[in-house]
Parts: sequence; structure tokens; C-alpha cells
Amino acid sequence: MMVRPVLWTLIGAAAGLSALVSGLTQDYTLAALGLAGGALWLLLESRRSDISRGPFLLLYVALAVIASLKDVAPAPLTLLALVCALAAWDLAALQRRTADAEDRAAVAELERRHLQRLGLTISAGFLAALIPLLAQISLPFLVLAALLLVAVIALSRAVAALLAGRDER
Amino acid sequence: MKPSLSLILALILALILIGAATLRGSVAALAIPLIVYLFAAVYARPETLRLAVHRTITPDNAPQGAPIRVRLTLVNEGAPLDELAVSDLIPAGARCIDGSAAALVTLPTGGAVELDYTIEALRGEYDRYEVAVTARDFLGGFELAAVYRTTPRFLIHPRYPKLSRIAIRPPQTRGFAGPIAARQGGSGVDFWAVREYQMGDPQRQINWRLSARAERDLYTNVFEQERVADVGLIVDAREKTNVTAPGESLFEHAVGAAAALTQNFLDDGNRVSLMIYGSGVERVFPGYGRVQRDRILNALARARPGINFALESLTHLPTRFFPAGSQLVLVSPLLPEDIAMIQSMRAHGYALIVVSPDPIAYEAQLGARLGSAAHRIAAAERRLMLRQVRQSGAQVVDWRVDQPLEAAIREALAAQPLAVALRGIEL
Repeated sequence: MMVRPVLWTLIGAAAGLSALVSGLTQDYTLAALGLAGGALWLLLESRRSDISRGPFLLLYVALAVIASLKDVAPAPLTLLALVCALAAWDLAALQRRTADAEDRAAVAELERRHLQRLGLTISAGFLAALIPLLAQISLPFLVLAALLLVAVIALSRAVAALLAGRDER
Repeated sequence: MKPSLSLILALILALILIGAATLRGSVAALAIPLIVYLFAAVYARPETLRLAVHRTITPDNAPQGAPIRVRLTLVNEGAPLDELAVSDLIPAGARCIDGSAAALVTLPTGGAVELDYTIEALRGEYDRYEVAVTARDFLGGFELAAVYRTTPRFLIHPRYPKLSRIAIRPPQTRGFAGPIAARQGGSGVDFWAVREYQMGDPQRQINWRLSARAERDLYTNVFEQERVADVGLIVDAREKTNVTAPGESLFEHAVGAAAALTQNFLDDGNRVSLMIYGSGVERVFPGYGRVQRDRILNALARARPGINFALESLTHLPTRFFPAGSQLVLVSPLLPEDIAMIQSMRAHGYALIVVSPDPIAYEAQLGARLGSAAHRIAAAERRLMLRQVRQSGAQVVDWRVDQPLEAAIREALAAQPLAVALRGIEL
């Protein structure tokens, strides 16, 4: 059960970093909310509750958005809190999928491979997000708006194409 | 796409829109890890499932309650699968008693997963076995499910008690030595007749007492030959004679009784045949020994009560299937309209034993809401019907299925000595 300690660590890290970021923006209510959310999440994981963990991911994304809007805390800290929450959410889902499996050796192998690939994915996402945060680029508003529009359209079409391909199968 | 990835997609769009609305690139940049996560799931999604499924079941013939080992092997002949959930769907009537019928593994190309578990099953024929598989990407965002069907056949025989020897005496016997008095002189243990001494007769068979009274002749004792006989078992599988409740059926008791009688008569060396009369007429041709026992048990394993409007009464029972003068054993709860056919069988010269599971007592045992008056009337009707059957010369075993069959047979046949039964007199 190598996932459990990693999951708990990630929940703690997400809660702690969100609280720190909110504290730096002197918004202590949000900091307390971040800590309380983490404590509740840990409680649910310890009791192996079936309640969806989606609200916790939404909470930490919202806290990250608020911190980014206030633009006081270092952006990498905010980003790190978000990726920790994302990884914890993913591992919580994995733990629920593997809870009933009886062959613990096979599950351990599956968990090991999942942790490896999740680590690569999250790390790649974190580094990819750091680049625009650290590099200062000046873009005219219209160019920025056009880029954002292209990104949204491309993303939507990519997902629609994938869903269509899945339906055909 | 699972709801989890829909949430990620919604968050991505929300972050981009908030970033665009507030002109904060840092907010839009928060969407990048989520985008990378989404595309990792998309990239790793399972596209096709190519699995070779092989199943073995050991043994493929077993009595009810015996453990049966199931081994299922799936080999991945396609692309690697990050997560593969395998669940063997145990057929209705069977249950897993050891091991696990499910697994969750990661399966590379050429990799195999094996399920090895033990089940026990109720009486019946099982010819369809399905396994459900679900493949997912490593993030659990996309699923590809399939059901594979395999057709290993296995039969579960009915459970039956061991019976002590049942004395039968059909009009005709066969030419092989056995336990049944053949109404002919020959080698045996029971005194049959006396005849004049012939050269070569053993001295110990000379009846000295009778010979002493004769002046010159000697007389020899002749013993009754003991032979085997033809026994025909008839199992009534008409749906309208059956009484059912969730998980219970009177027909199961009838099948168990037929199996016990089969074993009993075959053990005595008799030639036994079977007919199952219900939705159709299934026959097992006469035979001896262990092979015949297996044939009959296989047929009983497959037997099911059914409806056939052409076979609603026993009138159409093809008695010509049974050799003339043989012993018939009818296992049936009986209906009043069956009496005519029983009388016909007796008139054709068959010796007949009727083993009748009592449906009235069975319904009461199941807790059916019978008013006491209705129950008494039904029981009285049944007694009257069985009396009529006895009067035709058949031996009747009125069997309450909550009591051992052995005791019911012994009690009934002791109360109806064969000679009395043949005269149609009720004691």
C-alpha cells in the first residue's frame, strides 16, 4: 500500500501550501479554509469514505485562483499547491479503484507504475506551467485574446474528436 | 470519458476564461498542469482490447456440493493495458467458495493474468460462462469494457441419500443372476418345488424326507432362481405438479429420489432405464453398472420442470419404451387425472411402485398461507387419490420430503406387502 503515505503527504502539502499562500496574501480566512479542507480530506481518506473528492480539488483550485489574482504570493508556490492537490485527487481515485482487489502483489505493481507515470505527468505539467510564469512576455491584448481563443477552440475540438472516436468504437 | 476528466476539462476552461477576463496570465497558467494531465489520459487511453481467454473447469461432472476448480487465463495480444479489471461472472446457481473471481492488474503485451478459484453449484447443466473486463488508462479517465463468453460445459448431479435394498418382484426377469426371485426353478436359496430325482442332481438337494415316503423314487428340491430385472424409472417433470418457493422446489426432491433409486437398483445388478416426462420426453436407454448410473445422473442433472400442453397428463406416457413385465418406479406428486394411466400400466402387466412427494405437506412446510380447512380438504383428496392408486395394485410411497426417503420407503413397503399390493387390497 505505497499509495496511502504518498496520498497523505500530498494532501498535507496541498493544504499547507494553500494556507501559506493565503497567509502571505493576509487572507487568514482562506488559509484556515485550506487547512480545514485538508484535515477533512485526510479524515475521509483514513475512513475510506466513498464521498467524492472532487470538491476538495475545486477548493484548492479556487484558492490558487484567488492567490493568483491577488498576485502577492510567489506564483511557483501557488502552482505547487495546485499540482499537489491534483496529484492527491488522482491518487484518492486510484485508491478507491484498488480497494477491493485481493491480489495485493498485482495491486502493488499497478500502484508502482501509476506513481511513476503520475509523477512524470505532474512534473511535466508543473514545469510547463512555470515557463510562462517566470518568463515575462509582452503581448498585445488582441494577440493574447486570439491565442486564448485558439487554445480554447483547439482543446474543445480535440476532446470532441476523442469522444466521437470513442463512440464509434 | 469519465466524470473525473469532465471535471478537469471544466476546470481548464474556467481557468482560461478567468485568465482572459482578468487579463492575468498567471491564472491561465494554472490550467497548464491540468491540460498536461488531460492529454496524458487521452494519450494513454485504451483503444482496443485483444485478449485471448481460456478457461478450464475441473471436474466437469460432479455431485451437488462438491468443489469445482475454475481456472481462467487471459493473455493480452494487443497494446499494453495500464489497468485491467477482470471479473469472472459466476453463473446463477453457483457460488465462489475459495479464491477470488476478480483481479486488477497491469498487463503488458503478451502478459497474462490467471484467476484460480473454487465454486460449488446447484444441480444443473452449466454451459455458459462470461468474464467482464474493463481496461483503463493509468489515470482512470477512459474506460473500455468488454464481455467475453466461454462455453465450458459442466454438469452437477443431484445429491441423493443411500438407500437400503428395495425388494421388487416384477412379472418378468432377465437371464442374469441377481437378487430377484424369478418364479422359475433353478439355482437359488428359496425353496421352489420338488421334482423327481434325475441323474446328476447333487446329493445335498435330495429331499430325504419325501423320498423316504416314496417306495422307489428319490425326489430333489428345486430352488427359485434369482435373477436381475428391468427397472424403468419415470420422473414426472410437469410444471403443474411442481411446488416452488424462492430457492425451493419439490421437483428437486423428486430428482434426488430418482437418483437414489437409480443407484439402489443398479447396485443390485438390475438393468435400469430412465424417462423424464415434462416439457418433452427424455429417455435414457436401459443399461447396467456405473456407466449407466452416470448416464442417468447426467440426464437428471439436466432435468427441469416444463410445460407442454400435449404432455399435460400421463396419458401420453410412452410405456412401450419399457420391456413388458418389467418393474416401473414412478416418481411424481401425482394428480387425480393420473390414476387412469397408472391403472393402465398395471393392466399392461407392469409392476409399479409410485414414490409420491407430498405437495400438500410441502406447501405447508414452506409456510404457505393455507387455511386449515383448505389444507385438510387437499390432504383428504390426496389420501383418496393414493387409495385409488393402491387399489390398482401399485405400491405407493407417500413421502413427506422433510423426512428421509429411506424411512418412507421402508414404512410404505412394509405396510404394503407385494403380494397384497398385487391383489389390490389396502391394509
